[in-house]
Amino acid sequence: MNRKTLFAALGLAVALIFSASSARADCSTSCVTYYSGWQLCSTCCRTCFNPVTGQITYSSCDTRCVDLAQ
Amino acid sequence: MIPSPKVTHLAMRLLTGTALVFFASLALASAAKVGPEYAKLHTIRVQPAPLKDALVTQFVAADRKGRTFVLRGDTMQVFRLRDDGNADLSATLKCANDSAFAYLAAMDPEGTRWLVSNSLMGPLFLCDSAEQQRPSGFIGMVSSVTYSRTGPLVAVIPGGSQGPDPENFAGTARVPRILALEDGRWKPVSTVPIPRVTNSSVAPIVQIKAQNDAFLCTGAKDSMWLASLNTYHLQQISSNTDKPTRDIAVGKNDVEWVKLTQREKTNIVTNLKDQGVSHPEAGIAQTYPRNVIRALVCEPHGTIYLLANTPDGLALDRFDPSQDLLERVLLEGVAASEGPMTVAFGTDELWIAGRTAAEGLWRISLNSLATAPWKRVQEMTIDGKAAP
Repeated sequence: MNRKTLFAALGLAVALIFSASSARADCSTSCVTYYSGWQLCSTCCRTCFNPVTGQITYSSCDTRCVDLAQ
Repeated sequence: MIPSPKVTHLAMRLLTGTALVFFASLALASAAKVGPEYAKLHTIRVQPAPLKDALVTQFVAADRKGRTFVLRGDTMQVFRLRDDGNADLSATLKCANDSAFAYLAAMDPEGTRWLVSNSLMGPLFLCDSAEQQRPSGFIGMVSSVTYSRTGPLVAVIPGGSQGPDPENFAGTARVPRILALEDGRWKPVSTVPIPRVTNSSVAPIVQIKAQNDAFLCTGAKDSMWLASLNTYHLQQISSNTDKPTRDIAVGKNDVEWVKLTQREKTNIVTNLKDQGVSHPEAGIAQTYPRNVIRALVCEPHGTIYLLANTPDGLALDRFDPSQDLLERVLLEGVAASEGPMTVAFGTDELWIAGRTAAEGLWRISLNSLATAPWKRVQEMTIDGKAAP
């Protein structure tokens, strides 16, 4: 690999890392239902995710549970 | 100035000591790792001019004739990939895009229509160069999109709903996992039990997504295959049974969580504040799941191919369902993207697209694939048992 190619590759790597970490987060509200112990819960969250990585980066949730034994 | 004999002696001892430590380290390193167990497959990186340096998503796909296309996620332009590695504009999709770029996309076997999601939460659009449709009935979080021979399919995160009331689900035993488009409406074709949360240190919505995020493809006779993003599980799914028909696994069963660095957290907070999220510090993720599978494609004759992160680098794995055989080669020069990648079988080549257009594409001739020194993945289990 010559120096020019090396610098180009390094530049691309830095740009990609920057793009992945700084991609404009996509925010919306969603709910998920799940079991936790002996409870059935629904959590509705304001979530933001990174559209490049697909990872949820932020969530602010309101969770309600019902006891299954009742 | 001439150094004293004492100083010279000390310097010599330091040099000798450093050299000894250096050579001992080299010897230890070579003893610990003889070399990669799997062979490396040569790849050719290409970056068509219309996609060069674009920090936006891209998606590669092939039609039933083996013609290969790449969708640019911001402009919704579809380019036909040429043998020389460049690309010609084939169509521009009439697809609404209220986000910066498409999140997920898949092309139909005819090569004319795309199923596109602009966000984790949908909505899902069917677009071609003339029109856009938005079928009803989609609820939840999108995990992956694909096409079978009969129409579009979407894998969703199970348990996703629109309602805040758990009472509404008290009598529900199962929730959708895969949806198909029937009569212009998304309907479940595979369901699973309501997910269970076990890790109290991760927000349930983050945990459920990480545990269930999966690629979807359809193989021979429209068999459905799901590959987890964050653990090595390849599952054949049937709409009739509770459990996967087959569960191929390698390595750990549980999602591995990686702590975010302070720098990563600061970047996220800054990004969220820029978008008007007030006090984001309290809600930002502290961890993220370690990615394992980076792409999935069902080859038309039935073999399933996966891109997998391994300690030796990005690997191309292939699973032959007729022999229950999982084999691997390492991909020389292909970097794993930080997001889901796409793979497509062209007439003569396998194409791999990085998550963003700036990462480029890689191609491998099908002849190279056929003659590559594939090696069996010994750690594979099927339905929890060691492979025969």
